[in-house]
Amino acid sequence: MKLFSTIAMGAAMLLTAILPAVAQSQGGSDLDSIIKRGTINVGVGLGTPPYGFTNAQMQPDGYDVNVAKLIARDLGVKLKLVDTTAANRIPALTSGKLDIVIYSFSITPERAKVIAFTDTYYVDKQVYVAPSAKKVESVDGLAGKSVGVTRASTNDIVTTKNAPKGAKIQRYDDDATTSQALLSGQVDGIVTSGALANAIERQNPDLKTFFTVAAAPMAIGLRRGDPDLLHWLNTEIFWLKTTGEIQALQKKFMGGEVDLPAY
Amino acid sequence: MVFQHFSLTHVGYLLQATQWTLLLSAIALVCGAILGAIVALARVSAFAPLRWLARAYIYVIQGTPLLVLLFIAYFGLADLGLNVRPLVAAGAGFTLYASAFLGEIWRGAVESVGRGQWEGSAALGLSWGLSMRYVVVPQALKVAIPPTVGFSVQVVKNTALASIVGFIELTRAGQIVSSATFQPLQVYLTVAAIYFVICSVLSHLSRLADRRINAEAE
Repeated sequence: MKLFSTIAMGAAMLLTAILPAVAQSQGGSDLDSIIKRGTINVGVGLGTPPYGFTNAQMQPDGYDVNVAKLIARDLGVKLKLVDTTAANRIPALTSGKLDIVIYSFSITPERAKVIAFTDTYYVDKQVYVAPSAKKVESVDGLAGKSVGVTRASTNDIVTTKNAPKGAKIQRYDDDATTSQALLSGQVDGIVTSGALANAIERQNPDLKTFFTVAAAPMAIGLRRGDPDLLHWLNTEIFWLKTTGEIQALQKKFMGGEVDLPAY
Repeated sequence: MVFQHFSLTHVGYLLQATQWTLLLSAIALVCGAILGAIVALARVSAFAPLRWLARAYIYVIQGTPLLVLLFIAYFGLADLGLNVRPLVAAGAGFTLYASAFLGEIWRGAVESVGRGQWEGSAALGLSWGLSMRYVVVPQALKVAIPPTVGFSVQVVKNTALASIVGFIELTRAGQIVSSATFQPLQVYLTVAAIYFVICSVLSHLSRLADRRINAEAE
C-alpha cells in the first residue's frame, strides 16, 4: 500500500503541475456557470472528523459539510458533495472536477501559487497528541520518535518542516487512519488538528495534547483566475459571520468559537 | 462531536457500498473481457503489424500501475474536456487494465493448443476463423479458466483503488465508517468478510464452469 500511495502522490503532483493552465482557458466566471448549471460541486473529506464525516443516519455531516450547505443555499443551487482525499484536492480543482474545495484546507503560500484561497473560515491548530505517559515538551523532543501525520495535509507540511532530523514521520492517507495508528500504538504520537484532537481525547482519556506545532488558518479553495467567484465566496463568509451562522457551526462541531482574521 | 458505535446501520452502509464494488467489478470484467478477447486474437493473428500493436498495448498497460491508469482516466479525461463521473472513469481504467491481462492470459491459452491441431483443421479445409472457433478455442477454454478466475478475484480486490478518484466503494466506505466510529478492527473485519464472500462465490462459480466444460469435452 505504501508503494501505491507513493505513486498516487507522484501522479497527483505531476497532474498538479500540468493541468492548471488548461482548466482556466474556458472563459467566463464559474460563478455564472454554477448558477446556470443549478449545481455546485464541492470537494469534502468524509474521513476528516469533525470537518467531514458521516452521521448516525449515514449522511455527510460536519463543519465543512454544513458550510457547503449554507453556500449552496445562498447561491440558490443544489449541492453536490464529492468525497475527496487530501492529496487530490488540488488536482481535482485544477482539472475542473470540482468548483470549490471545503476540506479543512489550510492556507499556505505554496498552495496559493496553484489555487486561490478565500478569506479564513476557521482557524485550527496543528497539535501533537500522544499517550499521557509519553511526555514530549516541544517539537525538538520528537527526535527518535515516530510521528503519524496525514499525507499532503497541513499537519504533514508543518511537521516535515519543524520536526528535528531524528524524527521518523509516518504518513497515512486520511485522518482516520492517522488516528488509528496512534490508538493501535503504531506511532509514538501524531500531529493533527486541534478539533480532531479534542474529539479523540474525549473518547480516549489516556491521550493528551502536549504542544502546538503551528496555527492553521483554513479557507475555501477554488481555481485561480476567477475574481467573481472568489469575491462572492468572500462576501458569503462575511455574511455568514454577520448572521452568526458560522459561529453556531463552530460551536456545534469544534466546541468553541474562533475569531476569524480578515485579510 | 461524539463518535458513533459500530452498528447495523453501518453494516447497511457498507453493504450499499458493496453494490458499487460489484458494479465496478462487473464493468471491469465484462468490458475487459470483450476488449481482452480482441487483444488476444490480435496477439495470435497471422497479420504481423496487428501482433505488434497488441503486444505494444499489453506492454504499456501491464507496465503502468493500475492507480496511475485510474488517475489518467479521471483527471486526464477531464483535461480533454470530458467531465466523466467517477464510475465511468474508474470503469474505463479498470477495462484497460483487465483487457491487457486477460488478453495475455488468453493468448497463452490459445498457444497452449498444439500446432498439430491447427494443421489438422487446415487439412480438413477449415479457415483460420473456423479452426479458431471449433477446434482451438474449445480446447483453450479449459486451460484459460483457472487463471481467468484468479485474475477476476484480483480485480474485485483491486476495485479498492477506485476510492482514490472519489468513488465510494467498499474499502472507502470502511474508512468513512471507521472515522465516524473509531472502531477500525470491527469495521475492517466486516469489510474483509464481505470481500471474502464475493471472492468465494466467484471461485465456486468457476469450479462449476470448469466441471461443466470438462464434462462436455469427454
